[in-house]
Amino acid sequence: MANTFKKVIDMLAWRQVAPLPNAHAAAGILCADMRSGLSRTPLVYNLVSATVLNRFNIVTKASNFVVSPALGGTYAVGAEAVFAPSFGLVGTIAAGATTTSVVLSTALPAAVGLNMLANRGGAGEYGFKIRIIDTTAGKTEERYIVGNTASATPTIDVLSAFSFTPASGARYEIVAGRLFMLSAGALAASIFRSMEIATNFLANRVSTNLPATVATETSMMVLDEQYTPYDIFPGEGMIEGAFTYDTGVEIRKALAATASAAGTLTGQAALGDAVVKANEYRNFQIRIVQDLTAPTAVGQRRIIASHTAGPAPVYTLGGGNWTVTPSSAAKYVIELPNLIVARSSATTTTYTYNYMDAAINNGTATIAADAWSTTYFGVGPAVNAAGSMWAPSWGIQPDPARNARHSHCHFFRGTSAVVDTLDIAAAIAGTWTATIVIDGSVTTTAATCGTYSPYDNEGRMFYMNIYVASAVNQMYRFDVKNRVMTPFTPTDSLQAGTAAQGKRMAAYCCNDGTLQYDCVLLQSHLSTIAQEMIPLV
Amino acid sequence: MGVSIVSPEDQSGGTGSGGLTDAELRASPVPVSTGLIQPLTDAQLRAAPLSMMDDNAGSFLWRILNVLLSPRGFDKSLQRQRGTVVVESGTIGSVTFASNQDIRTVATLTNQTNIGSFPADAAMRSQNNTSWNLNVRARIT
Repeated sequence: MANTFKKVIDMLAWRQVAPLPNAHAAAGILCADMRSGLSRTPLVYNLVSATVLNRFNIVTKASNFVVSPALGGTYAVGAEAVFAPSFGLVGTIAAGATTTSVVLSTALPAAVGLNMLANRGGAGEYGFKIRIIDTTAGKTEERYIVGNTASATPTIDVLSAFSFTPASGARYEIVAGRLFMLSAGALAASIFRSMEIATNFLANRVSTNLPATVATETSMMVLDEQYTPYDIFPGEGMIEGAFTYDTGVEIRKALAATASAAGTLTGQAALGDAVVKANEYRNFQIRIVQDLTAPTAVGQRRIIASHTAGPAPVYTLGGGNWTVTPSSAAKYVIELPNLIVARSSATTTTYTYNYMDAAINNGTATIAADAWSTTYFGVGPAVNAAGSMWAPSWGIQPDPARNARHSHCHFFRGTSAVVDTLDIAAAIAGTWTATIVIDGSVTTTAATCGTYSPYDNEGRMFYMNIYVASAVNQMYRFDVKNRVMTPFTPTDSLQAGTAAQGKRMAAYCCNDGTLQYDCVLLQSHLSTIAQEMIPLV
Repeated sequence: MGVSIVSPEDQSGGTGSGGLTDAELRASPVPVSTGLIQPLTDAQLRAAPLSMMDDNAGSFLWRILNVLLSPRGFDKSLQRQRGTVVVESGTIGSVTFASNQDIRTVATLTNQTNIGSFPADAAMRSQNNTSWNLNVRARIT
C-alpha cells in the first residue's frame, strides 16, 4: 500500500456501495477469487439460494443475476460456496498455433461467443489468462487473451507473443476458475456443483464421502496453486525464486533445481528455498515450469511427501517417481496443493476434495480427481458449530524462525472463542492443534462470518463480523501470522435482527500499478446493504 | 323546541269501528296512556283535543340530539373532531400537519423515505461516500 494515512490521527471508514440484489437471509454466501495480481476474476459471487446466483463487479460496484445454479439437496444453513482459480478449463491444443495464437483441440464444455474470453467482466481489464505447457519447448508461459473465435474449440489470440511456437498436443489451462457450491440436507446428485467462470458452465460434482446429510454448518477453504503470499505473483508459488521463466504482462519467477533423481528434486543452495525448515512444505505441490534439458518433464505436478531442511533441500515425492525425471537444470515452483478442505458441523472429520484433473498422492493417501477424502487430513479436535471459519496463512511471509508458516490453517470452531489450527505440513495427514493461544479472543456467534484478505498488510489479516444484534462494535480482524485479534472499524450502518447464519464477507485484491490493496466486502445482516473497506493500516 | 305527544285516542280516531256512547264512556272510564290517568268525557275530548307538552322529556331528547349532531370536541367550522389523542395501538393512516409545526421528540424513527426531493437512502449513501473520499481516498497516494 502507499498512503499518507497517519495512525491515531486518521480514521478508517467503510464505504457504502450499491445494495446487493437480494437481502441477506440464512445461508446467503459471498465468495471471491483470492488471487492477487491482474488475473484475479473481478467478480464476487453471491449465492442466495438454490436457484439464485448473483455477481458483484468489484470495478463497477454493481451486481447482476448470473444463473440458477439448480442446486439439489435442501438449500439452507450448511450451504457453502468457494472460488478455486485453477483447472476450470484444461486440454490440449491443435496444430496451427503461432506465437500469438493457439487453436484448442480439447473442446470447451460450452461454445464461447466471439471474443468472450477477452473480457473477464471487469471494465477495461484484461481477458482471461491462458497457460500453455509445452513439452517440446520445455516451457510454461501464461498470456492474456485478447480475442477468440466463436466456438467450443476456438482460435485464441493472446496479448503478447509466447517465446516459442506452441506445438500440437501442448497442454492448455485457461485459468479462469470455478465456483464450487454445496447445498445442504441429504446428499443428492446435484448437491455439489461447479460453475466454470469463462463459459458459465454448470456441472455436478462428486459428493461421495461427504456427510450423508450436510448439516447446519459447513466451512470450506481453498488451497489453490494460484494463491500466493502477498508479495508474490500467482504462478510463482510460495517462495520466490530468482529465475525468470515467463515474461508476459507479469514476470514470473521460479526456483532453480540443483539436482534431481527418479523420486526427488533438490532445491537451491542459496537464497530461495535454501531457508526452508524440514518438511515445512510437506503436502504442498512441486511443479516443473521449465526444463530446457528435459523438456518433457515440464508441467509435472507432484505432492511433496517430505523434504529436508535447506540449504539444498531434497524434496521427496509422494506417489512414486516422476513420469519424466527433470534435469538438474529444471526450474520449479512450490505451491498449494489444489484442494478444498472442509469442515461440517456434527462431525470432526476433515473433508478434502481434489479438484484437479488428475489424482493427488502424498505417498500415504490418494484422492482421485473430482473426489472427496475423509482421511487425507486427520480429524479435528472437536465438532464445529455455526459461524465456523477458516483463516489460512498462505498470504504471509514467515518470520525468520519460521514460527508462522504457510501451512498453518486456523479454524474458528464456531459459536465459541476457540481457534484450532490445522498444520497441513506437520505430518503426512496434517496435525490439528486444539485451542491455540491467541491474544484478544472473542466468543463468536452463530451469525459470525469472515474472510481472509491476503493482498496487503503483509497478508496477515482475516476480517470478521462477530454479529451481535444492534451492537456498534462487532467488526474484528485476526492476525493469522501473529495470532492477535483486535476490534476493527465499525460499520456506519447498524446491523440488527435475529441472528441468521451466512457467509456475508469476501475480500479481493485492488491492483494499482505495482501496488496492491486489500478490499473487504460486507453484506449487512438481513439486508441488501453492502459496504467496502480498504484498510490502510 | 317542544315535542307534541298525541294520545292514543287521537291516533285511533277515524280509523276504528265508531265512537262509544256517552253511557258507555261513563260506565267505564278509559285510561289515557300518557302516564296521567284522567277519565275525560267524550265531549271534553272532542271539544278540545289535548296537546300534551312535556318540557322535561323534550329537553332531554333535545340534548341527546345535540350530542349526536355535535359531539364533544367537534369543531363545526372545520366539521372535524378536535382534541388531544393518545394512540395506544393501531395504524395511523396519514397525518397532515399545519405549516411550520414542530415535532419535538421522536424516540425511534424507523424509516424516513425521503429528505426533500431526494430518496433518503441515496442521500445517506452519498454522505457516506463523501466522508470516505475525504477521510480515506484522499490518503491513498
